Amino acid sequence: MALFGSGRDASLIRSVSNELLRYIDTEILHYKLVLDTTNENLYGESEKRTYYTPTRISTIVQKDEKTAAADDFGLEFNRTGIFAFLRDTLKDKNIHIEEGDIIEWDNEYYEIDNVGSSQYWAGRNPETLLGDTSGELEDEFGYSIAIIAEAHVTKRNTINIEEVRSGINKPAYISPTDRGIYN
Amino acid sequence: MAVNIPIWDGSSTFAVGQTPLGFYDAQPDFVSDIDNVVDWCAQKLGYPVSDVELPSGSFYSCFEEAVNEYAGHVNTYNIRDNFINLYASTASVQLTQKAVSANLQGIIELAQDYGTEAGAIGNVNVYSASISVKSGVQVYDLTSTSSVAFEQGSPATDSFEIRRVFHEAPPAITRFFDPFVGSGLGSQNMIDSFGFGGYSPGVSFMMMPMYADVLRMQAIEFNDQIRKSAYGFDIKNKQIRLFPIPSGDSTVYFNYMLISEKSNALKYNAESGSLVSDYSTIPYGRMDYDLINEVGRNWVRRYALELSRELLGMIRSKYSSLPIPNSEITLNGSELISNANTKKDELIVELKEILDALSRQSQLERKQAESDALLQQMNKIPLGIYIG
Repeated sequence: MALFGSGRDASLIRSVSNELLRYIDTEILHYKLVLDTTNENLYGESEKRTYYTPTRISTIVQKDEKTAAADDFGLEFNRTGIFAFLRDTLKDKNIHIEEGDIIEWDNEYYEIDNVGSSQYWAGRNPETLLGDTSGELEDEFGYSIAIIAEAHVTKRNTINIEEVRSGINKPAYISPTDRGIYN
Repeated sequence: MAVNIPIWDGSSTFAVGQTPLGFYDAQPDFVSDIDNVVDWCAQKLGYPVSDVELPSGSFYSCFEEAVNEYAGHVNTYNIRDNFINLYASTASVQLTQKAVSANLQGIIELAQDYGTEAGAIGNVNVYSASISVKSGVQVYDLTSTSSVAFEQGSPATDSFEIRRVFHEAPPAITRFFDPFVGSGLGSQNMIDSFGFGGYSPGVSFMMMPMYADVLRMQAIEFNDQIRKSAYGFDIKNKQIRLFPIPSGDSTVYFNYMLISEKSNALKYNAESGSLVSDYSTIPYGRMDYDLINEVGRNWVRRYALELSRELLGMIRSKYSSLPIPNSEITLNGSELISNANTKKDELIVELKEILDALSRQSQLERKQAESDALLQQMNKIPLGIYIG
C-alpha cells in the first residue's frame, strides 16, 4: 500500500505550480493545425497550413541561444526552445499539444518537434498506476506534472500565420492583438 | 479523479463544529471573531499576492489552539498563585476567570502537622491509655496488654507514640497551709491593739499579693524535687519507669497516637479528584472566550498567526523540493517554521512576563516599592514651621 505521494500532496504541487506559473506569467499562443484543410504535397509538406484560433497558455519557457551555421547556401540561424506546460491546465482547457503545432512566443514561431509527458512526481502516473486503476488504492498516488514540448524556431514565411511578403514597410513586431488574432 | 484540496480563497464563513475540538464554538464572540482573524492571518501570510496553502479549517484549528494556549498559560499562573489557598479544598467548583479569595486555609493545612507535634489541634487523633500500677512495681512494659489498656488499637500490635504521661505530684496547692494564721508575723498583737483581739477564734487574715502564693507553691514543688524522690517517669524503648516506687495500687494514664494514623498520607480520606490535590485536580477549566479582554484577544490573534505560519511551513517543507513543469523548486517551509517558532517563543515569554508581574507576590512587591518611593517623596516636602 502506497503511503507516500498521495493525491493530497499532489494537490499542493498543482497549487504551487499554478501559483508559480501565475508569478512567472509567461504566456504563449498555441496554434493547432486544422488537419482537414491542411493539404500535403508530393513530399509530405504542406504549403498552406491552416490553424484553429490560437489559445493562450501559461508556460515555463527555456529559450536556447541562437546558433548560426554557414554552408554553401549561406547563413542559417537556428534556435530551439523547451515549453513546459502544467498538464492539469491543458487538461482543464482541453488542449492537446502535438508535434507540428506552432507556438508563438517572443516574436518567434516555434514548431514543436517532440512532446513528452514523462515528468511524474513520486515516479507515478495516477492514470496508469495499477493500484489506482484496479481500485486497490483508496486514494490517488503520484502526479503527472507536465507536458514538455521541444521545439525549434521555424521560418515565418512557411507557416502561413502572418503575411511576411506584402512589400509594405511593416514594423518589426506586430502583436497578435494588433494582428487581430487574439484579444 | 485528481484530488483537489481547497486552499485559502480569500474568505471563509465559520459554522459551529468546524474547529477540531469545538471548545469555543458556542461562544458568540469567538464565532464573530474567527473569520476576521483568519482573514487577517491569511493576509499576514501573503494573501492575495501569494497563495496560502491552508484551507479555512486549518486556520480555525490554529485560532482555537491559540485560545487554548492563552487559557493554559493564564490558568497555570492562577494555579501557581492560588494553589496554596486551594489545597485540599473541594475540586468541584470551577475557578476559571473567577476571583479567588486569598484565604489562609492552605497554610493552615500545612501547619496541621506542626500542630500535631506541638499538641495544638493537629490532624492526628490523640487517644487515652492507662497503666495498672501495682504497689512496689516500678517498671512496666508498655506493650503488655495485661498492664496497659488502650482506647484505640492494641499495645501489643500497634505502633504508638506516647504524647503525655499523667504521673505527677499532687498539686502544691493541696499542701498549701495558710502560713499567716496565728503567729509568726505579730498580726495577733496588731489586731489586739485595735481592740479586736477578743473577737477572733485565733485566726487572722492578711491580704497578700498573688506572687507570694505562687512563690510559696514553687517552693513546695522545689522542695519535693530537690529533697525528695519526686514524681516522675522515664521511658526507654518499651518500658516506663515510675518515680517514686509506687506505694499502693493505682492507675497512671497517658495519651498516645497511633503511628499508622500519624503517618497516614491520605488523612483527608476523600475520593480521588474530589479535593484539590495537585496541579491536575485544581479546577481551572476552559476559558470563556467572550470574557477575554482585548489585550488577551490580541495575544490570541498574534499567536494564531504564528501557528498558521508554522503549519504553512510544515506543509511547504514536507518535501525538500517540489516539481514544477520541467524543473523543481524549493519552498520557504523551513524558514516559516523557524520564524514561527521564534515568534511563538517570544509571545509566550511576553505573556509569562506579564503574568509574572501580575502575581500576588509581584503586586505586593510593587505596592511596597510604590509605598517606599512615596514615603521618600513625602520626606522631601518641607515641613511647615508653626508660628504661634
